[in-house]
Amino acid sequence: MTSASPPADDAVPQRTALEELELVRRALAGDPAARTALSPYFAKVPRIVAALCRQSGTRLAPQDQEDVVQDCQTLLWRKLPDFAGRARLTTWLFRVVGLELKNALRRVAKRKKSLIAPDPGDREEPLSSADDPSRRLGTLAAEELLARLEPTPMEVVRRRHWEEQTFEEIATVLGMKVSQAKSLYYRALVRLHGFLTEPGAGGPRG
Amino acid sequence: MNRGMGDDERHDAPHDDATDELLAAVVAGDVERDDPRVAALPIERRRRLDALLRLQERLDEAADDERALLDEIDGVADGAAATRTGPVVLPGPRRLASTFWLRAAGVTAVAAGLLLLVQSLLPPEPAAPPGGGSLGGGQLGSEVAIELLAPRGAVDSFAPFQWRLADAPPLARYVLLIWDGSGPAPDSGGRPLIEREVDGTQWSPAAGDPPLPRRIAWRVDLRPLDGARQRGPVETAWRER
Repeated sequence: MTSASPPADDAVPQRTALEELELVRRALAGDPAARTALSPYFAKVPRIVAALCRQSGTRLAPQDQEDVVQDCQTLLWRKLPDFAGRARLTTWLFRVVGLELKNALRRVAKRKKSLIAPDPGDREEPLSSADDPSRRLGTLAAEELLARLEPTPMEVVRRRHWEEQTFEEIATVLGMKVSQAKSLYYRALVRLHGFLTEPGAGGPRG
Repeated sequence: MNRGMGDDERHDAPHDDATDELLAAVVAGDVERDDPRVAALPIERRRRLDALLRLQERLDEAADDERALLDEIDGVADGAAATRTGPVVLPGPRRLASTFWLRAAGVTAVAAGLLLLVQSLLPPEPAAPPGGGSLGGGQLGSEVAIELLAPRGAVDSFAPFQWRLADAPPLARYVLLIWDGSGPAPDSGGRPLIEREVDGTQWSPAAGDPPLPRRIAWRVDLRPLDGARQRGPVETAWRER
């Protein structure tokens, strides 16, 4: 990566995970070129928000969509130090936005001015209660559930399902015995199932 | 007692490390589900194992859905609405690359597979419930306060069927049942014309569904992730023309 100016469009150049991690580190260290190079990644946030809202059936007024996007972008910048390169940066952005979106929509709902009131003749899916639009984000349950696991079990589950790695590969990457990886995986599934079935099961811890 | 287990473990039948090792081996794919050792486990443990196996499938589906959605996000051409994104890395003036909604280009919703968790994680129910309906069978629990929004009374068209439930349990699904409104009352055991499990709060007939009569009665049950299906209220509607 040599250019210090943004690309003509917001296409994200192909980078390896290590290159993305290095890019983030340099951006966090204050490198202007690195910060500029991150722009195309953050430019995806509106699309991510729009896609997730669409899936959850949540309709937002344009102004409030801007507010939600801004909130998410602010959070992403604040959480950027947490990016460890375990997933592609776009994937990391997607997951963080997914977890934050519920909070952002709650803030919007509290203002009670953003949810588009359905036209009486509009037979679209009815909006959720104005006090709790978050329940419409059921499709993000995977991220919320995983966020409730401890880091290592979560990593094992992610590698097993999202990255389709074998337990031998997982054990090698995480520096543990294969039997330990399998045990962690089993216990993580038990925990996840417990989260799903406990009364009032909902979002991530904290 | 193994530490680190979820609270739900305390409510299960007594278990031991050997059982956990066996279940872990099945979940890891090292032992087949139909292994005699699994068959010899108490039914509660087998049901728990089956729930974990279904959870595995749903996690795979969630991962697939995420990949598909990320592909969609990366692949959307935003030439029509693209702007120089400028310093969007820093919180600053609000700038959006796009204010229009993405087309649903046939991409499965992220984690839509998890919405199948309710159906998949529940044990199979052996018998048809009283009051008609055969999907998932079994005794129905107490009535749940689902609000049936439409259609109600005289309408021009039945679709879409819409309902709402405040404080719905996570990953719960709904079972929509539609009867011929001129037939026996829905709670009298008559077989419904249509019975569909739905992961959202609305449904419309598809091309292959049976045509609906002029007068219908319909009901929406709640199927929690774990637990008995709960019967919902009944509403009637009729087409005026």
